[in-house]
Amino acid sequence: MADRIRAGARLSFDEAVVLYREAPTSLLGRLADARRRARHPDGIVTYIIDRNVNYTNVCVARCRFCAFYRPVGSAEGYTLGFAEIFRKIEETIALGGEQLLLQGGHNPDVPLAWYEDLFRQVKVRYPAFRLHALSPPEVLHISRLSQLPVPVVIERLVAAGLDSIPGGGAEILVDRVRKILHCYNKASADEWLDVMRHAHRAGLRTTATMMYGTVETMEERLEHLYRLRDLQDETGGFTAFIAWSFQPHHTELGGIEATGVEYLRTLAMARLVLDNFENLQASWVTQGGKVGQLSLAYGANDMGSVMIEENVVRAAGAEYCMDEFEVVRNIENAGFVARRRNMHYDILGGPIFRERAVPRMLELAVARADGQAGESDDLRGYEARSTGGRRRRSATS
Amino acid sequence: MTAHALGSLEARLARGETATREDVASLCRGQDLVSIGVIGDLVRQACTGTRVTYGRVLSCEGDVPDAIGQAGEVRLVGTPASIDDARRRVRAAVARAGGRVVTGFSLADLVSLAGDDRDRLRGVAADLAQDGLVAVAEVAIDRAISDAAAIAQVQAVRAGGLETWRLTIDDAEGLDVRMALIERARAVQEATGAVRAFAPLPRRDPRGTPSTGYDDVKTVAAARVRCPDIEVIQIDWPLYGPKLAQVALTFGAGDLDGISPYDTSDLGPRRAPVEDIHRQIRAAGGEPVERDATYRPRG
Ligand code: SF4
Repeated sequence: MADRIRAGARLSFDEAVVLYREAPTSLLGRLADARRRARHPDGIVTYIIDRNVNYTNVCVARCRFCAFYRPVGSAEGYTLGFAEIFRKIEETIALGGEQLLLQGGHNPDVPLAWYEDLFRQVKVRYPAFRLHALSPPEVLHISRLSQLPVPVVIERLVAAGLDSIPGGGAEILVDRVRKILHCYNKASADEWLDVMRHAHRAGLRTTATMMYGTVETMEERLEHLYRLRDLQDETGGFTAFIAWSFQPHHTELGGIEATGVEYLRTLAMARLVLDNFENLQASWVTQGGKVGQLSLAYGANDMGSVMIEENVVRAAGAEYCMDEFEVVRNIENAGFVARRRNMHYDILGGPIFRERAVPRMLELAVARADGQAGESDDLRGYEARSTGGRRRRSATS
Repeated sequence: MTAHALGSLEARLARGETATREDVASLCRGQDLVSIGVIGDLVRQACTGTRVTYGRVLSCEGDVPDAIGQAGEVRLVGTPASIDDARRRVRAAVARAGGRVVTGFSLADLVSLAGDDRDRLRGVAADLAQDGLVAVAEVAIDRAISDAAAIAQVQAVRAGGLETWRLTIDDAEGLDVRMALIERARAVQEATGAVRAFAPLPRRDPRGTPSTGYDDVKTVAAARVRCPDIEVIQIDWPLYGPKLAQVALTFGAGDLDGISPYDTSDLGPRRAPVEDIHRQIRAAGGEPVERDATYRPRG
């Protein structure tokens, strides 16, 4: 089987099960590394400078693996205002960033018009800045809230300035797993894939993700990968795949985190199964800088984001931080050439810090400092759906 | 190193030959990390099979607490203020250790307390041994000025009756420095036969530019390949964290040090209870065996 893979043959599901279960980690690594080299013979490893902003932590979905959300009405709930988001964009631009990864909870008091106004204003103020925003479950939530079909929601968001869609909320694309994790209602496996299908048809490029290490079996992880591979065969719209392990701390589900070796095996399997994906990201945010760097030997060709801010996995216990200097140092130490990219994986150039002084960053920023909850005043003009939200807005208007 | 050279090194090692210093240098210059791991793992398996040992250690900066938990070793850490202070700490620890082996101190600190005098060092070791200390906890080989000095210091404390089972490194920036220290570890073992474990990853890592994962696992593999006469290559679990420590087991490491003596799960991910250590070792393809301070199976 290894010889067939080396020759570039497509891996069947049954073969993948055998490999994932039985192959030594070194064999998986060698096969994945060979595949990575065949796809990226130039020895380039890319990264992006962007900021992961979570505009609200209020969420009705209540996924059991999530330590980030707060229920509607919680004193710790927050929704960022436009001015706060603009300030974050300006800080990102100062560090050489050109994109915001904007995701948040399913907040019933944030309607479609708020996103449209935000996106429009961002594009007016920062025309070259890109918005990689709203994972499929968020798009679905907005579609349900506004009672508009998904393609119409996507069309309106694109008209307002949406550039691409992040692949969050995929978890494991198997409904048995999604029901146990309480994320079936936010989006079933078919619904998640369908949003991506519509996005690709609308000309958007998107990423795909997998959060493993909760209640799924190995076969279900592979089923997830095969569902992504099938959609990629159909649309070709995915730019990259990112896998990370469930971070159990402070979550309702709890438990223990999958090991570092399991991460490298899973990454290698993804490189072998997803033969129609160009790019695989290393998840140093969940694995730490060291195992993040080792990912480059197990199939990854991208170090992901020089994250300026992260809130979701940090809430669940992961607190790793690497600035551009550190990301580049790790790429070069592994023998690769470091190149900055955008969300479409177009190469933008070499490291910014070599061209101009940018401050070293040893800690990630957060959406809001602890204790600074609440929604911003500029939400007042928008329709709220929750009882508390309606009461609050009518009292302040 | 080319694929061909890697293949021939693999074959030589499989026949039981030892890798040369040049082999290892060229291995570490290469970027085929997975193959470096295969070679480290090959030698590990020849040394200890699938067995991966771990030690539950109660590290004490001050007095030994009442709760010793399941510690297989009581280890006195920190720099003693004087020889008398060191002796007092040892006696107090032995009295509370409930029969556990007590180890303590860094050899470099004892050398400095003895005024860098070999005879006095032997005398200090003899006094500490008489008080109940079994072994020096850390022989930090980078703190000796030369291979010869490191060997002489080990010989002096052993002549005084203390064991020196564990070689460590305090500071070593860059792979070249690490490789030179691996050669020193090899020389110490060749001259003394006194070493059972070698922890080749430095105990201090600059926060601004920490060592990389590539350099760390290459160091582990190089140490395993160049020091086949040392029983185990060791990783400090709390210092390096579960992810890197576990991956290092697939690159030639065979022992996890610093495992918590307490069976609770509220100590954070770097103080994992023993079931998690078993899970991590098994997920890396090893068979977990708990050991004591002497590197022999417990119980
Ligand atoms: S993962 Fe997202 S959708 Fe689920 S509870 Fe957390 S914020 Fe809400």
